[in-house]
Amino acid sequence: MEKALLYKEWKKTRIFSISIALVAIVLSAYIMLKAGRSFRIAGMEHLWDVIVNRKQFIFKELKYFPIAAGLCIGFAQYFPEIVQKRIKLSLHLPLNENKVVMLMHTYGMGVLLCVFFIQMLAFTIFSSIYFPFEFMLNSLQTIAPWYLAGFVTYMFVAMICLEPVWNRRGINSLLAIGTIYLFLLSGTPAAYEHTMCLFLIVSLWIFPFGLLSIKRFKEGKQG
Amino acid sequence: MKLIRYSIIILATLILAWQIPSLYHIVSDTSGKNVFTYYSSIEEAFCSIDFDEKENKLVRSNLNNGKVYSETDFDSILPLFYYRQLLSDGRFPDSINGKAISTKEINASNFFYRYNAKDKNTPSIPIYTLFESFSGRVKLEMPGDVFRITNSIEFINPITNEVDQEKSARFMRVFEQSSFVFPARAAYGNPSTRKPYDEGYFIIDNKGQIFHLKMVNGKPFLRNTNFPEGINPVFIATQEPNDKSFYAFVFDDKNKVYIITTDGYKVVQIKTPLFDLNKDRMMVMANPLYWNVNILSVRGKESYALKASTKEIVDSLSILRPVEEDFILSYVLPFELRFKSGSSDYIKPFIKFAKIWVLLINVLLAISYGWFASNKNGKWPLFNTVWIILTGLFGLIPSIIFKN
Repeated sequence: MEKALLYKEWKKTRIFSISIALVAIVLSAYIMLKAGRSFRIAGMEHLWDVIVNRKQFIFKELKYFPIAAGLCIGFAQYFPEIVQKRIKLSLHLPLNENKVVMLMHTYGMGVLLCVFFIQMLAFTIFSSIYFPFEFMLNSLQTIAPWYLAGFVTYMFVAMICLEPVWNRRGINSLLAIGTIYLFLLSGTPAAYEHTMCLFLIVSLWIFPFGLLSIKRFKEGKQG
Repeated sequence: MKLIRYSIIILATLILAWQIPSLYHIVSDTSGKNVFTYYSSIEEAFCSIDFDEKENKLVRSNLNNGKVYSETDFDSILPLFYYRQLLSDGRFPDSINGKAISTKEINASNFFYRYNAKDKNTPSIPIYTLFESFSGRVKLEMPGDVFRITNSIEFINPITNEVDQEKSARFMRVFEQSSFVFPARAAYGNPSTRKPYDEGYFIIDNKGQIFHLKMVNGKPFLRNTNFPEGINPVFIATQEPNDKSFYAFVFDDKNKVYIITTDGYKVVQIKTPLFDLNKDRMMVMANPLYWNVNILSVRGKESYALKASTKEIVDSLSILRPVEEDFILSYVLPFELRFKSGSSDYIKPFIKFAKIWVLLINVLLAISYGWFASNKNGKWPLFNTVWIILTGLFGLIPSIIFKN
């Protein structure tokens, strides 16, 4: 049953999942090619100086991709469910409704995790070829909150879509905007260095929020 | 499900505790007065330029006797600050208080140094550029490598991203021959080619000793500055002043400021008004006769005039901001949560609590909420009540919104 449910999710979102993966590849290639151009034009020594002493971050084009990916996969997964209330069918499966939602979440998070992991790995390899370890660490510390923002966006999209009442959807959206903004507060590389654990806890904190929406949906809440 | 609802309430409370005060600041903040002050070597008193809002004009005055000056006269009482203007007008004096001072001397001794707590509280990549200090060229040039210093010193070539083994070994030998204790805590230099000369890096070793590292004719130069043992340095601002009188400002863990002089690394304390290096800003405006040491903090502006030769205090000044209590921030909103600060580049939570009396409002809100909720549901909402007592308005709003 679980496998069938996961297959249903794949059938529903495969175009979006593949598109996200393709955009991730194209964006990563673009960022790396652009960096390569800077290597040739400005020279590595100047580039290192700009990165280290002027705190310029060469992967900054990546900033909003995880959020876009989270929005995309979230809507692809949950929007069809709320159109004509198709989620009802899933909830009538011989499975606990929380388990159904958790399986759906796991699928979406899994897709994002795969894309983000591969992209992060690509940037880590790229950085380790052209830059010292210290730069690589700084880069990971800079992009990690952006990826967390991607997961948080996805979880909020699930929470908002599954919520049956429009007013509450609006309030949940405001909560989502406020929370996601927390992960994008600074343009300084590695600004979240000391508080990564805290923001990881915030991300995990949000994971079960969708369950409340599905409970309200099942109870037919009107307000 | 209760737990999830409570989790949402907690998150929403924190977001509100961050956003409501921040929006309130956007609509209510006013700029503090920024008065320029400088110690006059002619009047031997602090003088200021302030903006008179009633008259809508700048007022230049002596802060000791209140005498007001015209712009031209003001240039004359601050000859070491406005010397270019005085020279251009042909009004530069032959001597100042009986001492002949040349413009060359002023050029050499005048400097401005600004310290912002952000200089210290900022993430950085621990990779450093060590210039050739004795290249014989007027302009400093990039050295073609960078170094890292943790358990050893290693030079890395940016083009190949590989360690230059020969140069690293050459520098490492000098470290091994010294009393330097690895791992190094931090290195502080001024990695800019836009400076008159290079004095390399000041490195704090694992015992808190400060070492001076330079590259002279491609060879390592390492000296223990014999920094006094009782002082624990936490931040160093390496300077290259024109008169080559000192190497760096050193800040210790007790918020004291020192300079390391070029006279055998002698350490001289720079007395400052009350200063917190993690929050405040410091500005030093120096001339051949006096150093103006300004501390800018939430209290306002406090300054010392130090005699340049001895660094003794000759005068002090306080322009304190009146403490204005904001009713909303003190008695309505129980606390402010911020993640960004003017004194740090790091994103981390900063909490500022309101007056203790705000708890009264919190309790009133909590009882009202509890009374309404229990009337409606027949059960006293314990979690929400406690939460509203702790977080006031911020907890009340999500408690109402996320009631089921």
